[in-house]
Amino acid sequence: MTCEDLLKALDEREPGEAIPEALRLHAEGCPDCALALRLELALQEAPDWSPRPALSAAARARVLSRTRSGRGFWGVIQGVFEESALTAGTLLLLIAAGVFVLPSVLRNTLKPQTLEAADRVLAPVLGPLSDLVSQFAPLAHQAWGVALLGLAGFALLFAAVFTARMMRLEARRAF
Amino acid sequence: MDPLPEEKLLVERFQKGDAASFARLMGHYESYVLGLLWRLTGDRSTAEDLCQETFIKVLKGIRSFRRDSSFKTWVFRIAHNTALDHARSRRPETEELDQNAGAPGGAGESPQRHVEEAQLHEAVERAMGQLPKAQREVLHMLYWDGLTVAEIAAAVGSPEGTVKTLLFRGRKALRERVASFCREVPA
Repeated sequence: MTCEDLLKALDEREPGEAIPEALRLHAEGCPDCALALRLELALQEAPDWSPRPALSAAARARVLSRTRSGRGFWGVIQGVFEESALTAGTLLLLIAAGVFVLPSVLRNTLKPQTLEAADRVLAPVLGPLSDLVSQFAPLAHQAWGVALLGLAGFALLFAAVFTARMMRLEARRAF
Repeated sequence: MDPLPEEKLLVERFQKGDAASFARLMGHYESYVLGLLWRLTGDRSTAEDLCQETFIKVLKGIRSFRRDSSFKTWVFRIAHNTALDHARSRRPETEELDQNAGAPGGAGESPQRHVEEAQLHEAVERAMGQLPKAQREVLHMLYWDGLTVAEIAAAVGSPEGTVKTLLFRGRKALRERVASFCREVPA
């Protein structure tokens, strides 16, 4: 092993790799290579003897205060928007499935007597609701009408979910 | 560098605006970034300002960060560019740093340390301060921050070959300077 071999080996090794015995043996008899080896080991242990500095509390506070204002705030709002849209979309699909699928499922699974009993109980609520829905029935016969109803439904649900989430967010910020 | 558990989840929450996740990410990376910037600028106060600037850029740019890439190298890249912008904005001056000022952790050495080791560490810090900035930066990222060559290349925006060349030259220059310092102060 020559001095060039040792330096080449040091340059090519990854930090953390074990030092081959041949390098140690050569370094024992060569002061320059011994220093190069000591330097390499010292560099490997640099995080131990040269501790990383800590950012001052004031500097950290200045950065963190930005998360509560400016784009940080809009980042929160954007997150709430996305989550609200997703929740509203899911709810709309569930409601549509309930309206179109649930009646036929109930008719096929429940006894006529049970259905009549349920009808008597729910009539005060379903009656006015049915009247309200029937006003929009003509729209359901047109493609654009269906799209409009879907969009209106989504907008209503989105507004409700968004409001609820914003209220929760405000409550969390307040306490 | 110690890995941060649940980093991906924290980044995801941070992108949705969760301030607590940002605080945890910043708490993990701030000392690495500050150490690098202190190494590059040689001045603690300037490094603090640049570190602050780096994390404000992280905060502003988090929406454009793609989660399939490494958050660590992205942060280091922003720190690297911030230091570069700072160097460009100042009038040209000699690369060599004040030998007493540019060493994170240089002060406050433990008294129990062996004299020879302490001398070697001091020589390393002094020699690092005299290296060209590009060499100093890649050596610091490799040894002090524990980044791989590929991560350093991504952080400084250079090919891996260039980083390897800088490391090779940096190590060579470091050996020569440390040897010279050790000859000045025989153990």
